[in-house]
Amino acid sequence: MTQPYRIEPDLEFVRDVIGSGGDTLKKCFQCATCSVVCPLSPPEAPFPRKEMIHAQWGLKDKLVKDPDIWLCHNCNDCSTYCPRGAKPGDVMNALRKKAIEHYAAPQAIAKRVGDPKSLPLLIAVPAILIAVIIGLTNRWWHGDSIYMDGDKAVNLDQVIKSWEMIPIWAVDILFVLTGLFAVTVFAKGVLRFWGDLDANRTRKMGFIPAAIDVVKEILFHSNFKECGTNQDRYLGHMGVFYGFVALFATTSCIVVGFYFIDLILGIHVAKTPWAQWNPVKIMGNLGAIALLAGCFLLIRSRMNQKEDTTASSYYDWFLLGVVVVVGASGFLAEIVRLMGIGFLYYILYYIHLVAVWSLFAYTPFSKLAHIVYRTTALVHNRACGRELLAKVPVVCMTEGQKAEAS
Amino acid sequence: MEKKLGVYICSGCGIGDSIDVEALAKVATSEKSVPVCKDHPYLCGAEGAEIIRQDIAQEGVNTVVIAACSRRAKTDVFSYDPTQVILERVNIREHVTWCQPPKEEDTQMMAEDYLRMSLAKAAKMEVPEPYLEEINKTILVVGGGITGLTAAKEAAGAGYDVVLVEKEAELGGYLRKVHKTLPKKPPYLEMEESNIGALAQEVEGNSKIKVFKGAKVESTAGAPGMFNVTIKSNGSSETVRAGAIVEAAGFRRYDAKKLGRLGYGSANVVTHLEVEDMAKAGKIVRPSDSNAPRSVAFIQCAGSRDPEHLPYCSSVCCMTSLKQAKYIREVDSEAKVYIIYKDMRTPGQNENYYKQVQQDEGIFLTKGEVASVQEDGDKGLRIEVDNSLLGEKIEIKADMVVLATGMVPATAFGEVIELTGEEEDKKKGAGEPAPPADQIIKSNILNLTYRQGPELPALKYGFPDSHYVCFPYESRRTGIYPAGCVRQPMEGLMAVDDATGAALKAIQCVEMASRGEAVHPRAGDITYPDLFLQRCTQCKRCTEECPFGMYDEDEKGTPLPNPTRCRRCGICMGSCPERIISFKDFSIDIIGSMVKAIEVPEEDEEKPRVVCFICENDAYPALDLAGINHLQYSPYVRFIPLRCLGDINLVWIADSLSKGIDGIFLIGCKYGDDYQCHFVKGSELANYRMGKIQETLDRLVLESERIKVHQLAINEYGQIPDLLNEFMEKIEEVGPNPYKGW
Repeated sequence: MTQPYRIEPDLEFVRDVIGSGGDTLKKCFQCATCSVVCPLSPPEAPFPRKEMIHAQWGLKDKLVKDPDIWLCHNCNDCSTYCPRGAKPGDVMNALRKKAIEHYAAPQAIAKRVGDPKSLPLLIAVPAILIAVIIGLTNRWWHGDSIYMDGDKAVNLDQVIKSWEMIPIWAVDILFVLTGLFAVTVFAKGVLRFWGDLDANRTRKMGFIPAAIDVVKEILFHSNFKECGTNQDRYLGHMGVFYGFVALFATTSCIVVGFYFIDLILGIHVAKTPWAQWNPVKIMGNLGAIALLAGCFLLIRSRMNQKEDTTASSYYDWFLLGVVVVVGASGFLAEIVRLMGIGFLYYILYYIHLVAVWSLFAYTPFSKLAHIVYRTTALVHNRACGRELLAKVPVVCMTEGQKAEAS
Repeated sequence: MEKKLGVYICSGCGIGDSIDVEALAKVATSEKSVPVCKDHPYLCGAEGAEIIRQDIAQEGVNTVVIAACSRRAKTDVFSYDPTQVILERVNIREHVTWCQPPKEEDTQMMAEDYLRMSLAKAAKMEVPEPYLEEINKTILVVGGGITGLTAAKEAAGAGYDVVLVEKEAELGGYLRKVHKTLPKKPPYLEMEESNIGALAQEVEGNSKIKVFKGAKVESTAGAPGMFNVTIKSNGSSETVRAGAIVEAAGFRRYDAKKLGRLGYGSANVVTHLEVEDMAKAGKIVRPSDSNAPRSVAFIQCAGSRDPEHLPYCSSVCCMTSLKQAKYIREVDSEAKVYIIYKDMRTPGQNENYYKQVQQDEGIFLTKGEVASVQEDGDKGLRIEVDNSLLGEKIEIKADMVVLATGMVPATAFGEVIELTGEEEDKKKGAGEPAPPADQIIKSNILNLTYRQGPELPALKYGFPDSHYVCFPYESRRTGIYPAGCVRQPMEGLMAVDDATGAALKAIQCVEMASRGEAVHPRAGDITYPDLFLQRCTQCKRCTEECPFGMYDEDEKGTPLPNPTRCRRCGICMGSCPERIISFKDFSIDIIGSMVKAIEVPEEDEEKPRVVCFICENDAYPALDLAGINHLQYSPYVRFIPLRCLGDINLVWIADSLSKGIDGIFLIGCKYGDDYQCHFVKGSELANYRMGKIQETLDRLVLESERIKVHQLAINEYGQIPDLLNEFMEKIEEVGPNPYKGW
């Protein structure tokens, strides 16, 4: 006989979920309408009904390890149809926040990222850090002595140059270090998460094929498309996602071009700034436009949300805010640079650096961490054969169909 | 009374297009020499109605036969003083023209037969005289809890004298013991202080209410309007006179000692009652160490909805647990309260309260089946729950367990007597079928001196039975109205409504009794059974079969009728083998004459005839519905409505068969646990009597297939054509009745 699960409700956790946007949590009376209407919920042990009671009962241990909270794409079909106004969509969102906080170390940062009161501090850190670096490295004080050779290789007297304010190597060093920090935090978190997932169920499929399937799914956003209530989020998320992909690819091209081809191989083909018609440049600009357009759609969708269905939390707005500032400051900086307004450019570029640093450094603790945890959960899920898509609506199946399906 | 007949035929509503109204009128004028016979295309209109009124006023017509629509329609238009005018309605609309093809010979014959039958009936009907006695209008209320107090207050407020009897030394009942009550006013979110003390004071201070505390009813003799109630209190007895009784005897909690499976017996396993007591005393503590519990598990349906204990839901325990969970949470914000339920049931506005309590972060609810409750080492308890909503078997640790035990009506305690007389005992011994018996529990509440037993009959679980859906306040004893938790588990707010309703019923009873009218369900009927006692053989069938205990008996077994207890169903009339019981407008002779008025065609005409005795409460309106929906069925059937199918007397069967009627079909109501019979047992009794018909058939040398009994619900009217047509086929198979033409 299996041992009964020993219940130890964590009252603090309940209060936390309530405080993190899951304030409707306790309204749930377990009718399971949510699980029935959810287009993504699998037929076996469907979510979000069970997550709702686990959260009501403060079963933190179960919930942070629960891969199903990551299967939810927050379309809010459940909240729209909930007869009790329990907003399972918002609760799932809050639970994801709690899961990120659980796996992201140090927890002190995680707590601050999720707490609106710490916002000034979160902005102050990169703002001061970058200001200090500028102060230490700026050519207006130090002359040319601390510039790398590469910077001077081309005569660019006619254009505004970012390195007038801060040398590229300084930016690169800062961001490589910050990136390494983020990757480390993620790696630790994901390994723990993966271990927790493995402890509870058996994989039937290799990691690689599962990961390939999941990447395909992510590229096509097919799960998003299943969501009924909130279709404009599909395009918005798609825009932001591909915007980031394009911008990441652009940055990678430049890094590879600058450091490997230019500096190491000595072939001077990748001097920045590149011309606007350069395909990589075009990709970068298109990426920025996609990012901003996506953000616009996402913000509009959040503004149009009906209050009785869902409420956006600080956690949601924090991420959107950072992304918007990154995209807008970068894009505007480029425009004013091309227009030759130096003063404005430097301010915008500074803001851009602050925003990008925040994005890097806070990612493992912010909602953006879903990139990693959701992907992990999806891969594990795929590997365990838990089909994400309930392709046939369960409610409509006859006994015969069920037998056929099984 | 010298009768002067007037026949009025309506040709509206398609009647005139379907049948020959003039030919129909000839049945009255030529065959029966009726002095006044008129037809009108719109009889229920102002002009038509005026014709009848004029004839009554000026022509001296005092027996009105209206051949038009169903007797259930236009009752306001065709309404005359029953003590002056005899009224008979012939349904040639729903039962003839709307269910038969127009302009057919058979349709015409059907309409003519119905008129003949009604004329035969009208010829024998008499104007009733109401049974008038001196009626006492005092309302006796038994029980001084929220229900009894409210009933007393309401009845007194309506101007009636009230006598209230409470067994405890103080008024207030269960609610006097509770710490706080459930929400009583919108928006129904917060528990409230009980106001039972104020209500008790108000009742005790009311000069129209006489309160007996620490008292009980020793005996209740008599009948509605004339009860003699002996009340014993403080060692002395006093007899008061009352007109109607509200039985508000309340409930007891189910005995938790039977719930060892749920841990009862362990020190820290308690029930709602103990928690209520502790809360009222100021602090809820664990019995074992008198510390406030940090975690408490409520087990819902403890012994409820359980075939081994109480099979029913008590409807209040869910709310009580929610309320008590709040008691605990209000004093300790870190306390954890678990509620393990089968289903959360929060009737009425209490859903709001449920929602409110749910919001408390420290209250954890789940559906589940409690598998075991065991003591843990440190005097805590471990509760194992199967099939919980958490998706697996769970174990909860709690300092204290509270069992939500259900309600048992006060009427359920006592010796159970299956009510049968000596005669029935003998029959049972001889293996003969006995009429259905009532279950009466000697709960020592009313101590009626009725021949049929000392308390109200119960159908299930000891709750005094009435027609649960249609007549919830009624019992099977006229003038006695169970209310509150003795009738059905309910919480305080509903008990107040219930008490008010019961007080109103009691008032209705004394008022109608004072006018000699039936109270229910034939409200306003002033006929009552006349017994021609010179021919009584003391067989006791009437005294035993009356579902309402109307008859008492003398030592020899002669029935002693109590007309104010009577519901005028006529079941006694059907039961009497000597045919000595009759009503002024409804008797063995009248119905027999209707049967005899049917024209039975010769055998070679191949037009069989079937008499259908139908219950007027369900089958008759079902037939009306069939007519309204223009469902067609055999034109060879003739319906005779009865007050209840329990009126069926074997002599009518013999009359029909010896006249050449080919088949007899009886349509009554559903009986059994979910009976639909207005008179509780009538349909069942009819079925029982037909079980004894074989003797009659043998004597006449006829086939038993000629008689069929069926139970029809009013909503099953769609089945009527098939039912009748199938029976006709069967009759044609059996062949014509050899007695035709005798």
